[in-house]
Amino acid sequence: MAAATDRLIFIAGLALGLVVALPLAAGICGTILPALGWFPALGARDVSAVPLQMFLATPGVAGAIMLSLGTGLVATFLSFIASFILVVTLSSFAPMHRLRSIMGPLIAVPHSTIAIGILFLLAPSGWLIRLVSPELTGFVRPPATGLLPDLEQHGLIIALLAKEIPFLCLVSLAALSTQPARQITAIGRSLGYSKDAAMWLLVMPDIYRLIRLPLAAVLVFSVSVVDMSLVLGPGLPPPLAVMVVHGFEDPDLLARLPASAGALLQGGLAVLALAIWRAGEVLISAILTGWRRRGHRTRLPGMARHILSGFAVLPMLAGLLGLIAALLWSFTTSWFFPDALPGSISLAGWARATGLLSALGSSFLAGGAATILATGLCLLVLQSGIAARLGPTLHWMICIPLLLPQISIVTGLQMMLLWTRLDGSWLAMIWIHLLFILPYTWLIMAPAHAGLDHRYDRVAATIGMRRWRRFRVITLPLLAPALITVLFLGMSVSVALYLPSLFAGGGRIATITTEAVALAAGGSRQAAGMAAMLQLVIPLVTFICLQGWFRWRFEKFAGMRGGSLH
Amino acid sequence: MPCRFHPFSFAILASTCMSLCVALVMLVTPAPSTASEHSTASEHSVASGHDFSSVINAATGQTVYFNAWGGDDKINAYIEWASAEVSERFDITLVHVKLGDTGAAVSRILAEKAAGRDTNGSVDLLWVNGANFAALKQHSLLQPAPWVEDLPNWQFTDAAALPALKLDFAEPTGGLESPWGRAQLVFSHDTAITPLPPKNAMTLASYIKEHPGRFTYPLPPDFIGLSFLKQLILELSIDPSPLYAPVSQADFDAVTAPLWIWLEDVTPYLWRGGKSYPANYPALRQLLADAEIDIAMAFNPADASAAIARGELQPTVRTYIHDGGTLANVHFLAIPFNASAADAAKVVANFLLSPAAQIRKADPRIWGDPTVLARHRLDPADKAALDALPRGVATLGEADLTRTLAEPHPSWMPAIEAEWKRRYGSGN
Repeated sequence: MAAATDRLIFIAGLALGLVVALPLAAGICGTILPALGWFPALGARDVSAVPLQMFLATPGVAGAIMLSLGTGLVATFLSFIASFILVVTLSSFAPMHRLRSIMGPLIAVPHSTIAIGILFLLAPSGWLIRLVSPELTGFVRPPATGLLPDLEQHGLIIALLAKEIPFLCLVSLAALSTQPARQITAIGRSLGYSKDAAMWLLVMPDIYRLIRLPLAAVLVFSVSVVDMSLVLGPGLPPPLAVMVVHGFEDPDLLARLPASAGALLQGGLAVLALAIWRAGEVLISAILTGWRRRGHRTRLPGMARHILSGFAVLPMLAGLLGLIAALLWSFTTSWFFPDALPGSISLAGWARATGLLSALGSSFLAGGAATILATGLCLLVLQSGIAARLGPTLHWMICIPLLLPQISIVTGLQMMLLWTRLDGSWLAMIWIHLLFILPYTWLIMAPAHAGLDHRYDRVAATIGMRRWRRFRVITLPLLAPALITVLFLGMSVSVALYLPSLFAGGGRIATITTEAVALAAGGSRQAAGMAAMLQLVIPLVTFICLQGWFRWRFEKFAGMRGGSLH
Repeated sequence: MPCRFHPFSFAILASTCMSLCVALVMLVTPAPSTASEHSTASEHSVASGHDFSSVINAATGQTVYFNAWGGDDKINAYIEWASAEVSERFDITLVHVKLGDTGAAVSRILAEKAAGRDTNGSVDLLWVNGANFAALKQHSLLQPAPWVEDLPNWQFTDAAALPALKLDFAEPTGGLESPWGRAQLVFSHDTAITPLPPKNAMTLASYIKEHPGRFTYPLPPDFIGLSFLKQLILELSIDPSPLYAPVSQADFDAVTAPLWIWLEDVTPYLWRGGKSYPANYPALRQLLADAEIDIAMAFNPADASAAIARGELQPTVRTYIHDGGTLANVHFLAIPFNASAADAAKVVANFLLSPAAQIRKADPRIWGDPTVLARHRLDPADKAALDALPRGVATLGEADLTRTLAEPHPSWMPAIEAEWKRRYGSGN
């Protein structure tokens, strides 16, 4: 028995090493060494700060750094505040419960799709201005500056909010369900606090502690976002991560050294953003603690709560409207300013969409394979018991891809793939998707596995059921609700991956997301609209299949009904 | 519990060490010695059909990774058609690798050479011209032997009448890239909004200042964006002759000064104040369709007509060129030195040069890219088919398109790009 366990642990460790440690180590080395000037294949052997100095001499680099940092911090702070406002409102205001049903699907929408929608909605010639022109605005032509003075940055922040508010909201609600919130607010109210004040001062600080990892992931992503910036227009200077991507596209190979330094710098910038966030945490926590100690029984007027909730919902509304705009564009070719709606509906675009369909197939293949492997790996790790032995180290290692900017890993990985001739291969594509899906899989599977009632397993063992059979007949069905969530989330995360697909695909394998970003940056609105709609097909089809299977499989089990996807 | 070596730690340690080794080896591998420069193109007679049939036989079943800029739907659709044709005719799988910037493919081939990957490269056929071709040629990244004049369909071209077939931006092609199409910079405007567009660089400057926010150009290093800058410099220079010699032989600052003065003058009045630029010409065309800007540009004289036919541009859009003429060039197909399927790539290049493929390409309803074939060398039937093609409502006549400017020496392109980035790359 012990030998079997050890063998399982060894297999799990080896798999983790191959899937996680190997690409991470290679990716990080492949970034750091060239950044220090060490790339003998190109004749560069002098370890020095020259590549970094060269990168810092790129025109506009200071502006790019400030832009990335500002965008990331503002977007993360606003999505955090908005999600907490919504959680507090949701916990007490019944009609808001409907919001939950739109937030679930919204977190499955890829970042780039949201960005395409926001572009179609908020550009000077976008849908919003079309809807009110020329009647209200008098515009017969789009204004020189639209609703947003700076579409690149402000549009980016709104797009990030539309994506991250529902994510943080659902994460917070999940955390809330583990807390005795009702009892705590009851105590707070008996002490004379309003219900909201009791939530804000007594419950939410605990929730905050539970969602720090997702928050950090949101912050790191926002500081280093590439796909959304590409869609919302090549502003000057571009965000730092976009500048780095451009560096890697330079025909001059030696330009990769300073570009690697840029990727390293992007990693540093993420750390800086986290440090600033931490400083803000300390500050706000001190203020809040003082507030609580003084015992103010502040009452927010009910109106204020509704107005704030309204503002918190706005970005999501913009995201949804944008998706509708993209849907309309996918069915039209002639839709000239200032018409509020397209004059005619045409399927001509869809008839030519064969190229997009093959990209959709690639996305399904890469996402499906990577998701199944990630889920399998998670189960292996959890069943082997290695998690218990290793504790937090394992957890942090799996979560690294969430806490490092993607660009800092994938550029280094690409150098390794190029050398091993794996670039542009399906192996590389699935591998890199697996690396970025695994953290999400892990964050859901680990608590679900920990919550299993092991007595079922023991009872089965006493009646002589073999280990593998027990796993198949007892553990898997008990994990089914978590499993379908993981499979759905894995597919959603995979279809959204832009940079990893771009670098691993090596141009040979195009996913629907690399296509959508390329078409949105330069291409007809119709084509970009179609690509955006096809991006939604993957989460949608996955959802329907999983939901259907779950209903069919567990129809007769009363206890499982609550566990389906919502 | 006895202290034992943890199997997990071992696995992690082993794989980390392994990956470190891999990374180190990758970085340490020395660059292979540069292969000897290939010989310049020798005179080739038209190869007999028999020679090429052996190429066709060898090509059967091969997969060609065709790296071509993929930013325009109708070009992508044309390549899809070609892919279906070569699959049926020659059993060749043609995969369009859509590039955002051709420079990325050059960089990839260079990286493969640096990594010693002399065979089985990832690019089989590359759509290229100008500075990128010059870079490929300079680094010996192309097929070592000239192959273009061995293509059976080369017979339909007339390089004496169209010297640009053998001279790519003043760089001799050396038989290393097969002509695919012709291009000329044309501007488009909506006659309903801008009845009288400015037709030279000086009046364009005043127009931009009188109509703030209504003009822009694609963000360099986009090909059209850089071409627009070259167009300006050719128009603004009193003596453009230094532009036709390598940039290293000229006083760059003095020659390009008129361009920077012009840009300094108009940039604050550009679309979004010159703080943002569209990514490429289809994005520019979309802005024209949205009436966000007044003037768009393309390297394809039929682009506007095709967009009108598809309903993407207003029917009132027309094209024009500058009075002193506009840049014109030929674009090509090249095969890298390490192509995995060089034979099939040649078959594809030959197919794309065939009258059937060229006539389809010239159809403004399909793509509208002018043919590189010489009318007088075509069969009467093909000639009639070519002449019967509609020109498109917004396309200029042949006579209007005779005012052309030759492309400057390719070395000017990266130099202008670097200086543009230095001045405007930060958006200030």
